[in-house]
Amino acid sequence: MTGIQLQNYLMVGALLFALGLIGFLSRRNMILMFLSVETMLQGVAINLLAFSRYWGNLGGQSLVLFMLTVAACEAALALALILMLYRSRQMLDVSIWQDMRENDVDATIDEGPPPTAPKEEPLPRLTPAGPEPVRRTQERSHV
Amino acid sequence: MSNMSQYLWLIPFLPLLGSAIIAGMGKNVLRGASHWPCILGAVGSCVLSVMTFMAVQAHEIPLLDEYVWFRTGSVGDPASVQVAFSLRADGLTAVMLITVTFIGTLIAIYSSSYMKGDPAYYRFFMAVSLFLAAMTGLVLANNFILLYACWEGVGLCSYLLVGFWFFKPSAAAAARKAFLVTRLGDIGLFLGILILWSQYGTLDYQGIFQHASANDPYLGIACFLLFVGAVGKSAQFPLHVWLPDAMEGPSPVSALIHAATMVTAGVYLLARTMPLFGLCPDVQAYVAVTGAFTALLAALIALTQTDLKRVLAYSTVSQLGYMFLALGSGVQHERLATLAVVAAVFHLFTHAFFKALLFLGAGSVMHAMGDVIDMRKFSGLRRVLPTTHWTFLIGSAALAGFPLLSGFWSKDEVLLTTLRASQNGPYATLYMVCFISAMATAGLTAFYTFRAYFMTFWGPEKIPAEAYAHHGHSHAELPEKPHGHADHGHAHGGHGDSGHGDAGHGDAGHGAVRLESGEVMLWPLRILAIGALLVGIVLGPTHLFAHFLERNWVNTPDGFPVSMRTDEAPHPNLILMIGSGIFALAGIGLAYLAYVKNPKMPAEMMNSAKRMYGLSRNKFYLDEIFAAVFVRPLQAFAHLCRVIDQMVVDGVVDLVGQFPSMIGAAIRPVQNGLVQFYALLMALGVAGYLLAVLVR
Amino acid sequence: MFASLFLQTDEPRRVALNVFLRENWKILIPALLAFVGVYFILPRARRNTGAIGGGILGLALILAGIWWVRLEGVSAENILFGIFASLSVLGAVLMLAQTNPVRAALSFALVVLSSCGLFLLLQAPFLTAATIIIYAGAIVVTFLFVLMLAQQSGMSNADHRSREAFLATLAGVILLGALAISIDRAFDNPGEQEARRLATAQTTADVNAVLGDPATEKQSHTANLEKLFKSDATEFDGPWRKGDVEGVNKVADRLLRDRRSMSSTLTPNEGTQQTAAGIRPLPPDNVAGLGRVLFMDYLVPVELAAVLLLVATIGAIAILGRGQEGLR
Repeated sequence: MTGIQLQNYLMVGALLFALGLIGFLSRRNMILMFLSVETMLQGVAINLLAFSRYWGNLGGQSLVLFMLTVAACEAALALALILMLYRSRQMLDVSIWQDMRENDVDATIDEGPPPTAPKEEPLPRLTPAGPEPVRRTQERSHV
Repeated sequence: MSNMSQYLWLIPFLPLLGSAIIAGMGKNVLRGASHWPCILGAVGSCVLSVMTFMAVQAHEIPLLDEYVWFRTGSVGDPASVQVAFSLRADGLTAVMLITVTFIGTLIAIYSSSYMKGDPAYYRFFMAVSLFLAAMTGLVLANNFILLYACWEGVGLCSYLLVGFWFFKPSAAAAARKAFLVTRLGDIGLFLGILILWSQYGTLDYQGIFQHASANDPYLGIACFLLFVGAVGKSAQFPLHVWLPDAMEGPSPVSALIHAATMVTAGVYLLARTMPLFGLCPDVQAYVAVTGAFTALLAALIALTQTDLKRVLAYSTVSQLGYMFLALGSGVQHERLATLAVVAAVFHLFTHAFFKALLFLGAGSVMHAMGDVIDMRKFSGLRRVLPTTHWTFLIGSAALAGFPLLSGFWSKDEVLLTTLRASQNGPYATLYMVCFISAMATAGLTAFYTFRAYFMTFWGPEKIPAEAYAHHGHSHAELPEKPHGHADHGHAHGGHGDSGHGDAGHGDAGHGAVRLESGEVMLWPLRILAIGALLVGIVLGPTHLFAHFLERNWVNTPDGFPVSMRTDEAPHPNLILMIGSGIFALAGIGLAYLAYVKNPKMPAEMMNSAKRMYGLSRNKFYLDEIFAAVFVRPLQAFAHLCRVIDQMVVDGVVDLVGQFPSMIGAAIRPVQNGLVQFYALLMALGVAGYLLAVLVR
Repeated sequence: MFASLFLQTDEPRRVALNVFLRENWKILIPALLAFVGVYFILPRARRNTGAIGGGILGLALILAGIWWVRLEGVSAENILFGIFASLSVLGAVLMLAQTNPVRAALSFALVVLSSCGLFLLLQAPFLTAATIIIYAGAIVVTFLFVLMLAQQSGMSNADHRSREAFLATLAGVILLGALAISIDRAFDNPGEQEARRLATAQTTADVNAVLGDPATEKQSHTANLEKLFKSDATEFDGPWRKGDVEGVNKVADRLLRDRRSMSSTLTPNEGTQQTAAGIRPLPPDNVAGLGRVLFMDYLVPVELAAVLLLVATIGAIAILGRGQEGLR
């Protein structure tokens, strides 16, 4: 019974961090990018807690608590901004925001047509039952 | 009077002040009254000049007014040079001052009528006033630097005034030509001044004159360079080409600058530096030959010109040639220096009167004929322009050397000097040739002068339509209203205030229209005519002029070296006088025969000597030769330089500039605006760094 | 070349590439596999290579589990660590691969929950609870809300294409490899190797090969050991002079264990306190200790964090309150 060595936790933290980084760099949905960042934060949190335990004091845990706070703030603001951006272009694709490029650099455009959705099975419909309700056209609204 | 020297500075300062006032207020405040500061400045300057003249006469010594302008090095250092803003008034200066300010005043008055209504009225008087300041400064200067500064100022004013109607391409070209050609001479003058400075360590006239000796190795070169400067300014061959073209300026400008005063600056310079030239007989021979040749050449060209003002312009060149001939004849071994400068300055003095008169008369004719100046288009004007006619007649007679008129006396002195110079000495034959040439030129002068006179004022009365169109138009408008005509360059308001508001009824028919200029223009003509009549006979045979110069300049301690002075009174050579008088009368008679009695004769002569006629008509193709020899090669060279500059130099510079540009173009796609891409680059950078750390 | 400019190391160590590969092949092979795997599972427009990528990635994870993780023996703690660790990594991989953002959010919830299990193993019960509440409870739910508000129907470029998949994966994997090699080096250095040889030494010759011959040498060769164990390295001197192989074994074993194991208790406001004892149950004053640390040592940052939360709340409201015409 020697316990779990510190380096194992560090390895897990590194894995989460790297995977989060890859997600942040490659995924184009702004929400997914954001989730990737949070994943990276999780890796860092594991690191901090492992060191906290290794050194036997609570400084690391305190830091993680602050990290949580900042992550919450960040989430609130980022989601607000994402919603804002979505409102203006009706899209979550981060790649449509490339107006800050140099004047003579062409816009980055995806190769090929946008992916087509696979044919989805229509949802089953219940057969209508009972008599059709009478529609009152004269009904006035309450407002 | 005793402290007149304290007020010398006012002579150039008053016109300068007038110029500044016009420049500051002319456009918006003075407008039509812009001539007043100029005229007042000129009159004040003229009065002061007369006072200076009297003071010089009374004191018989030069007046000096000195103020240290700038100095290099420390005091006492032999290499240092001190330039004083020093003015000097002696006999020569006094004569020049009187000439310049008196003629200038008359011309300013004349111009106030002639230029009336011009859109740039104020600009004209500003330049005229500035010119007077520069010219008086030039003759007052007591050292070469101040002289050179004023010399350039005169050149600048000449440029401004020749190009006064700069919207005419011909005027702009003439102004540029005048400026560039005189610039060639100015370079010579400047080099000459530098050589004198390097040799004698001072720039004051006196310092140089006292130190100079015939053995100085560089003196000849310096004198020759000074002469080059004078050639440029005084329009001698081969740099005379700018003067006829300068007639593009308004007529008063022609009278003021290119006849009476400015072109005499070269003559003045040579007269002033006569103590140096007297030491260099070789250079003097150059001067004499140049003068004689220029005189003959210009006279030959003038024979066939049909533009009245051009005839006068070439006559100016010719008369300046006489002056140079006189100056070049002042050889030392015959003790002729005194005689030479007296002759030259006297001719300068009389010439200023009658040439200003002739140009103003020509301006009056031009004014009346609606800016037509081609003599073939009008004739028989003696009844139409009576006052202009008789004043012009007097001027022509004086220029032609008609006996007893002013030109006769001064020209005789020039011829006499040349004759004396040809008596013996190493260049005797040369001076003899010059003398014969000058005699021939005298006859030619009489002929072409009266040719122009007869063509203009005699013969059947012929008046170009422009004259009436112009007058009818001007009468249709209110007299008070200044009316500018851009197509004519200037308008004529002289009729409105002429005081002869008599026949000016447009409906009375053309013949009733009064074409003669207004009184403001005629009075200067009358005054100058009287001057042209009397100046010669009053000052010439009585030797008043010569005595004044000798007593107050030549024979003063600051004047010529004793070896150049002459004590003998110049005795008039009767045979010579009769001979030149006969030449003049013969020329006039021939002109009368050819242009009044037998109008077909010129055409016959033209046919019989077609080639000669063509040469003269085209000014001996000098402009074309210059263009082919100097202008074209220079243009070709300039083109070559331009090509080299654009291809090679610019190419190299552009190439250097292309490097950052190419690097930028290579890495610019990185800035594609994608946030993720930037983050990716950052992560790759970190990854690369980590790899380097781990693998190293 | 440049690295030496920035790093203050004792001696610049120049290693040829083959030496580097030979030393680190256990790290590099899983990293390479992970690179290929991740590259294949990332969503792309035309080909669906998720299955291949998943296979390769699974292999990479197994190899990494074998070569990277050092678990000694089978205990409940080790098993729990393995489960939580693999679940959290699996969740992260799934999140990368999902084309449906909702599923990705749920994968992220998996990451959070499993890493919270790791938090518990690390004696952080308060943070476990807080993380579950804040992340899984609040943030993921908010994400889902936003997705519902914003998600357009059907497929989109955003979810079905990856931006620069190759380079992104390369950067991430290089980072991962660098981290792994660094961690490995930190726990597998010369001192530790020597200590391990001493711990498993059978004869005095083995001991003397490391520490030197006590007959000729006055002092043991403990430079590397001293670097790792500081003054504790002198404990080797006694058994080494006596030729006590077992004594040396014991000392080395104890020191190694001290070094690798986590401290069993977390004591607030205390410095380093390592004990050789194994893991014990969570001490009851853990949360209280955290509270004490927060409100004594970190009082001002806590207050600042409160202000930050307030500002973020106001900011989020202000951003969204500008309405439809806020942008453009």
